[in-house]
Amino acid sequence: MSYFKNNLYKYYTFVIKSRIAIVVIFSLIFLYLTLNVTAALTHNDDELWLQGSNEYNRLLQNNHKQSYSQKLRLNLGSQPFSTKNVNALKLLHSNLEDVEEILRVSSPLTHKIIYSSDDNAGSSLVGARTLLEDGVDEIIGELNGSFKEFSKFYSSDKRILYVYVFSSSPIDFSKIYVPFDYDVLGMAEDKNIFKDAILFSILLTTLFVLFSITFRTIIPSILGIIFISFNTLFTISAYEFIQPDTPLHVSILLVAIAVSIMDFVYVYYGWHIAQVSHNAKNAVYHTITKTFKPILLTTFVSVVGIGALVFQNSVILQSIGYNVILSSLIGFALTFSFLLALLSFFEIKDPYMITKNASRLFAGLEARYERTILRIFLLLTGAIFLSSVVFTMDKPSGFITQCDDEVISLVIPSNGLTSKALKKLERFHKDINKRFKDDISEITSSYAYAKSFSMEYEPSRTFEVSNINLDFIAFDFELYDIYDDVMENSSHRLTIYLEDDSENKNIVLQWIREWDAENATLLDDVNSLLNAAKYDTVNHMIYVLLFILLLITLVIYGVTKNKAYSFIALTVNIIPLVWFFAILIILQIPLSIEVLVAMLIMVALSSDATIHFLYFYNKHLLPESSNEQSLEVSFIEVGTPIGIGSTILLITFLLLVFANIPTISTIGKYSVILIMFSLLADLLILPVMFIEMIKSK
Amino acid sequence: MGVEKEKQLVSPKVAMELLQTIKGDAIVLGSGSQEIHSFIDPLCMMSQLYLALIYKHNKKLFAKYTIYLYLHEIKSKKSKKHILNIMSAAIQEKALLAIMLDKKEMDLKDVDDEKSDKAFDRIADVARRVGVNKRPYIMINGKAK
Repeated sequence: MSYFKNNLYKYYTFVIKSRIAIVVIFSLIFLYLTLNVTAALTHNDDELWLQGSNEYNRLLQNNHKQSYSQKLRLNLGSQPFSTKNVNALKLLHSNLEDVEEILRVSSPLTHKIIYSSDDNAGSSLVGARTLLEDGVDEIIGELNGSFKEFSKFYSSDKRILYVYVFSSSPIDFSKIYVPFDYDVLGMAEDKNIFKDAILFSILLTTLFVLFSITFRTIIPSILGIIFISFNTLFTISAYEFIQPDTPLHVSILLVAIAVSIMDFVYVYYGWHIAQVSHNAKNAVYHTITKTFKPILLTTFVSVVGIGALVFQNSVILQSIGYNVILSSLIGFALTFSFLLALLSFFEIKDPYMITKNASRLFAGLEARYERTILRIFLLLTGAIFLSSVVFTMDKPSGFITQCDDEVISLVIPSNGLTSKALKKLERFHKDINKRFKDDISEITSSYAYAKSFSMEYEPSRTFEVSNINLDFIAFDFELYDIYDDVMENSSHRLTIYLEDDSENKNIVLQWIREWDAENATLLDDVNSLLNAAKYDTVNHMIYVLLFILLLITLVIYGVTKNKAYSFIALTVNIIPLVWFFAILIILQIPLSIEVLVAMLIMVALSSDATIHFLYFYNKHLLPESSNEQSLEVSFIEVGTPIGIGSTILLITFLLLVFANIPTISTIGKYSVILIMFSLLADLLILPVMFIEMIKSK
Repeated sequence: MGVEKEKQLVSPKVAMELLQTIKGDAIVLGSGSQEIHSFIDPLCMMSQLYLALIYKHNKKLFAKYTIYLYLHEIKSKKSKKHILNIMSAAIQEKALLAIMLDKKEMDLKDVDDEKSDKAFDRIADVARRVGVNKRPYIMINGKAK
């Protein structure tokens, strides 16, 4: 017996002797934490994205607060300017006025028109007016007669009216009477214990049923639910202890659970099939010897690879990192103490092996694979990989959440309404209009209003900023209620309205961030800040993914001392990612935390599978066996738990798609695609590449 | 059509000096640090709109500005009687609002008040010298809009 096995045996005897104490201690800890845990899960990732983001920090450092912009999309029907619609819009404004958090509303009724009026009898005035206090007939006449002035608020067929609501906190429109068929863009989810309960009920019920069906016994269902419940509660509690002020996003917890669930599947499956040839207690020892090292390695990859996220300057990435570290370590500790102790109490007579015949069939088919097909597949994947890299490098902003609110609010710090500040704004207006000529419908700013007023005062004079009478402009801004729209203390506020079919908002945002050489421009609406934060995260995420891939490669090389194995591991883990990236690009699915979380779940699962598979091959492959025999044994020993674990997660995530919890549904959708890719790569590409390697030798 | 800027007949410095002579004849609103001088006619619709806007935002405006309102007749409006009624009223601001904003039918008196007459003439004289040719005629720091 080797030193390693000897130590494992000592450990095994310790666990068996102390099994009651182990179960009691862990159960008491579980009970204590159940009664004392206070951490709440959040469904809203906005705050997590904002915290630690560069753009948000700059805003705070400049003593500004973030604002919220929400776009109401009102359905007007076939008669957009009917009396009914205008009356309803007036009522909506009246209702919005009563909401304290609302800072300003931008609609056809509040849109300011600079005008000049002269009765040629000595009365004249240059002023700004809105339609808000006009009569219904006047409003209808104005909308029909000067539609171009208001076109930014309407869809091209005029059936949809957009109303922009700017507020100090997100507005729950379900509590306000909106007299239209409408929807709101930019709504965020928040804490919801009921939703969390539904989510975990679905998760646990699904796992219970699937374990029972797979193994034809209720034991793995009970043990699986206990293991997952313990790991989840311990992870939440540990995270609350480490990061007491950071809420835990429900999706991040899902990653953590997905990472640890595979440990349970490998260990339980090992113990289950070990009982074909061993008694119950020996089966526990046999399971330890077969699974300890690969699980240690997969835990190492998860902790070091995904855990590296804790060093990123983003709270959301740190949160994922911490949770994966905690869940992996806790999962590892629970697996090789609590779970083994529990297993030692049970015995399975005639253990059912769901894949016994399938493994043989599968191995037979794969052993006779077509080399040309493999090569074409790998070449195609390589081409897609290169295209994705080129696309991402060329157009990184195409990857970030595509916002449909089409409004950007920003602040340019200044020392008030000065000529210097207006000149800077003039430069901004010229530059952005030159770059995004067809994408911007309107920009409201102190410069835009000052220019409009000045041109009405002196229509025959060529407009120049240096000729603006700032005293009058400041007075007019107060008189016509413009000041708060365009100034915030001494800073200038700009609101940029983009066209419906404009270039991706992220490209405009990135241009704004890079426009000012002094780096003084501050985005202040939450949607734009979120986009900026996500944009900055793309590079971090790519680096982390590359790091994990490198780590898997190194771990496999460390275990096998074989470069070909490392290459196979790398390829098999890259393939699902490449295909997923291609789907994201083709379908123009933007990067979001949901996509990110799904990718991490996939990488974690895929690396688990690769390490287990290659570890098994390296340790147990018999030189005299045929490809088919080796594959069959591998499929039974390793392929089956990979398949079972992935299928269970696949079905669980598929059910979550229908959970009516938007964040979770989206994660479910992406995870299903990725896990399918990963499963195909692990069960089809990995063994075939392995045979290819053996043949080439 | 936009309004061509009317030529101001005197320099800002001289305008300021002239305005200084009629400050006592103005109706003063607010107590802010910056002075706004406005020539208005009570029967001029634009002046009425201007006054309505001032009162709509009075909290902000009155904190930031001191607004001097000089009642100056547009000949075609024939508003002298209204102006003299406001000037001779016990509470000028109240009379101003009643005539310009409430637009109530008021029993206008034939004012025979030398003080009001003189104030009316002083304002008209300064307006002529400055070059006031529209209402409202708004000046800040001696410069007209």
